[in-house]
Amino acid sequence: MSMDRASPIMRRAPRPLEMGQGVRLDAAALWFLFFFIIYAILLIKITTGSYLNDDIFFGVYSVTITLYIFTRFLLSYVHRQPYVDSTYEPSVAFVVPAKNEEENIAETIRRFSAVEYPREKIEVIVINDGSTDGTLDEIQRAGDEIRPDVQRMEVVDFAHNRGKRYAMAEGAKRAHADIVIFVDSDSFVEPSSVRHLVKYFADPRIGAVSGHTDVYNSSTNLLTQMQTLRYYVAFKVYKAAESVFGNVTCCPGCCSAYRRAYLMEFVDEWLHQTFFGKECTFGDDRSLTNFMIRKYSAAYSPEAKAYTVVPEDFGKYIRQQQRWKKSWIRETFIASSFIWRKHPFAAVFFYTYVFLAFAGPVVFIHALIWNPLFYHIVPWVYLSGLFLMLMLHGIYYRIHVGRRPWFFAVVSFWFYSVILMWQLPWALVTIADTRWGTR
Amino acid sequence: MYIDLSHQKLKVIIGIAAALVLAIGVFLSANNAWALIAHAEEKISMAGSEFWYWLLYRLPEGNMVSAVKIPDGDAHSIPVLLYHGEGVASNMPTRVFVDQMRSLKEAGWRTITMEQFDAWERGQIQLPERSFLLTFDDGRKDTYYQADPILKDLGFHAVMFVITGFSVPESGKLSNFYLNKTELADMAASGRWELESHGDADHATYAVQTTTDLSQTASTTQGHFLSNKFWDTEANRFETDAEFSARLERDMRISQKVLQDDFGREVIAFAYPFNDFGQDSVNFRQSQDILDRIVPSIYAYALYQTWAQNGDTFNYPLANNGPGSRPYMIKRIEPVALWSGQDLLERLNAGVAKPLPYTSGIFGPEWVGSWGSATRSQSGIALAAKADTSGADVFLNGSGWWRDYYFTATVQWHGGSDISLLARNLNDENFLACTFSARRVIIERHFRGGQSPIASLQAPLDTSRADLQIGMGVFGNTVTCYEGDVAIVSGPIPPSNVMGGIGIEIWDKTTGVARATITAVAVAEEPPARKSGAPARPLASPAIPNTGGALPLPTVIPLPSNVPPAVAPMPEPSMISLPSTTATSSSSATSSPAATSSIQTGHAPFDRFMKTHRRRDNADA
Repeated sequence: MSMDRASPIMRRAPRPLEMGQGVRLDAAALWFLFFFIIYAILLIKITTGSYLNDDIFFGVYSVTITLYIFTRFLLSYVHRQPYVDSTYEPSVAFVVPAKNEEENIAETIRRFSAVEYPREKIEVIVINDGSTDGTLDEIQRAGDEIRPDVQRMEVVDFAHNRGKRYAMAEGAKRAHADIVIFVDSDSFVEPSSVRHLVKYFADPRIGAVSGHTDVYNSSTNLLTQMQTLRYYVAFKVYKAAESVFGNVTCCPGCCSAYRRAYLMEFVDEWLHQTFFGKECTFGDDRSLTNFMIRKYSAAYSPEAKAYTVVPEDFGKYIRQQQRWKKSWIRETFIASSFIWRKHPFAAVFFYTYVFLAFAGPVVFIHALIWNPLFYHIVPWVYLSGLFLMLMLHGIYYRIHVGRRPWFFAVVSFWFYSVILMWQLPWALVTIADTRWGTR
Repeated sequence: MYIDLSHQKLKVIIGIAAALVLAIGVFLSANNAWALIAHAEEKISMAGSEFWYWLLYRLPEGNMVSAVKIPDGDAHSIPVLLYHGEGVASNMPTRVFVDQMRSLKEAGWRTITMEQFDAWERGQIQLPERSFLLTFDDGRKDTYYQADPILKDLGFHAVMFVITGFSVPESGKLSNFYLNKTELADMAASGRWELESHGDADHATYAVQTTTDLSQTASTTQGHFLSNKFWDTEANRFETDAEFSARLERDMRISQKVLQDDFGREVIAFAYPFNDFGQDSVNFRQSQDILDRIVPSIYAYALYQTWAQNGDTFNYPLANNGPGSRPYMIKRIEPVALWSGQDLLERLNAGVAKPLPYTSGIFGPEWVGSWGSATRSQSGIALAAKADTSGADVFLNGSGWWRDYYFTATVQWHGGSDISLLARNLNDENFLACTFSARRVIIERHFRGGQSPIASLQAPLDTSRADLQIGMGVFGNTVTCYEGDVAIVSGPIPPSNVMGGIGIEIWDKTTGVARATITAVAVAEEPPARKSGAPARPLASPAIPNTGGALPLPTVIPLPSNVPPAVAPMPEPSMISLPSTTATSSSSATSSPAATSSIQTGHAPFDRFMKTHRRRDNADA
């Protein structure tokens, strides 16, 4: 499971030449630690099993969450990718919705000229969604730069802001290519990523493929370090596990490919999606995936790499998380109505996760407020259990990416998990509020 | 779909799974694996508790105590303090508990062990003054984890009364609330804790019938295990007295045996669950007598929370408890969260055994009222019957160990027919009284709720005097009443009243009338020097024959010539107690509303136990 870190962007990443004897030993020790933590968690769960008799709800939660997380790692380990088939080369269209993104948009567009794919099969459609800064100029300039390297470069300019969903739909409709690759205006794709996205579409069941997105500004501060860890594990472990059954529930906008023919079947329905009478204004990527997996499948391609810029301050981060939580609730609600028809394992895991997500805050309140208040039980077990679980993720991350800040990322992951536990219940309460907040 | 189950991956997965299963199997099959884990958890919890103690209480305070007072005498009496849990989930905040413990430490109070207490009770050892026994009931986790860091820091010992049915249940089920076996073993091993019994299954309420009289309609209520007869559903009847006794005995023996077997130390003390030693019975009043028989046959000591009617708040050596008392019953004081450390100290100082001779100029909290109202002030102590009591009383806490003394009181008598000096007073059922009224002076003996006259004299008392001085002497087996320092009537003391302290009581037939202020009290070790020169001591010579339980005849004492010789023998001299008062004990249970409301405020912790009778409110009404 070695990592290819040859990206020109990740200059701070360790070079592969460090992978000498010492590093291998290091990895062995880390793997040992990884399984030792699993061992410790299992021991704790088994030996403190009496809680199952005490309270069926908390007991079931405890066992389920453990099994759920362990199966994620197991499934991600057996996740298989199709081989790149050089004879299968459908045409692709990069669709980039952009709003007030003058800083990053040019770089995003320039990357398209470097992708390793026949140039006559590449379309680029950039939609300026009513930007009020110099985004349009930047698009034009970068578009002129790359025009010789692609088959077609189109700039769409919305006079007024219409929303990301409109921009995505407009781009998809204007494209001629077989595959539409949505790329966020602050994301950068790796040259090899197109082939790794496309290789899945040889299978006609596949409607969407999620690329792997890492954090671009990972070394800015502890918050972005923490998000780097989260992104990495969320893709490498959780999306890979979903992908085993072709049931990836969210192909994120950073870098995901959709089969245009399937997309066109429901693009207008998606565009005017309403939830409890209100037009949906965020969670476009998750909802688009949701439409897709109703009939088709969605997979994850770990080698189709892209980078994205994540929030660097706490307020932005919280607002982003809040939007995600709301769209998660909405789309999970919708997906619950049909996932049972999919692969039985996929369905079991899906509903298990829904249970865990909603039980989580209840268990949290029970452990951190109820028990200390009424029984004076200090929540050591809960907090240390949570920490061990996150350590597991942290070590996995450390093993795969090499020497990068990881321990304090785990600590802050743990910290944020604890202090942001209210977000899901709060999202549930405020689900009707469809404003973005400041982005 | 996208699953890779190649042989290589399967091998890795199976290999790792097998290694994990093997490792877990090895760990769990190791004999003490489970204990090790439980232990690790407990150690972590305790480390957390200690951390919080140091962070919240120890570090901010710097050095805990400046100077600990060194005791310079031996203890004549020993208080036992009772706590339950500490911290947020209990009614004793840790902050308050820490304050109370530190104040005790600073004032020179030190804990003793149950073993030391036992040896001291038996008169085998002396203990320094300001020794106390610290006890906790119920075996709660929040006691151990909250209190242990403090005990450790202060060098204190404590006794934990464990409910074996909750802490060491047969099922082996672990509780979140009660300490488990490994924790108890840790406590015992720490040397700071001793484990004693708080029953096995008896610390729970059970559905009981309100009466065992089948002719009456009974309803079901919640009652205690030790004081109520259970319905035998198989036999379709109430359990017999023998079955009741067997059930109690079995429960008490089980908890003793479990603790002794599991922790290898002799268990000699029992704390009554719910502080019910029969007095809270719903359907079986006689349970009190059965408990009196069973408990001392199994345990050397039985502990209960005392209240004002029980007299002194400290415990005296066993030998000092006369016949008629229950020497194995150990009194406990339960500090409440409202008491600061200084409040607790004040209460303990009030209870300390007082030496003779004794003079009370300022009346402090050592003067305890148990009936009517008693208001202490600089100038004296004002006794007043409440609207619903026929009188009021007060006793001197810490005087219960006195034997021979001459007690005088200066009284401003404002209302009521009788004023009594009490001597050899152990509790409100066991004392001698010199009762003065406008018509006569009478010596009475109160014993187990009954009262009987010893001697009386028709001698009018000048109640109009501003400073009435009355006195009472108890020397050997003779009791004498004085007006001024003149002996006016004397009588023999039955052998059961060998010791006890002093008290004062006022009374009137009409409620709310009796009123008096005690301005001075003095107790001397010698009787007053005779003014007339005639030998007055000993006044009563005839030794009282031991008549085997029946009270000897009241003897008419030949008084000196300067005293009117009108001693009237009491009628029916052989009776032990007046019929009317004998009835008191059974009728009193119904009078609790009035009795409860008659209790002075300021003794809040005692109030809830106030179900016992008021002897004279009912008897003489």
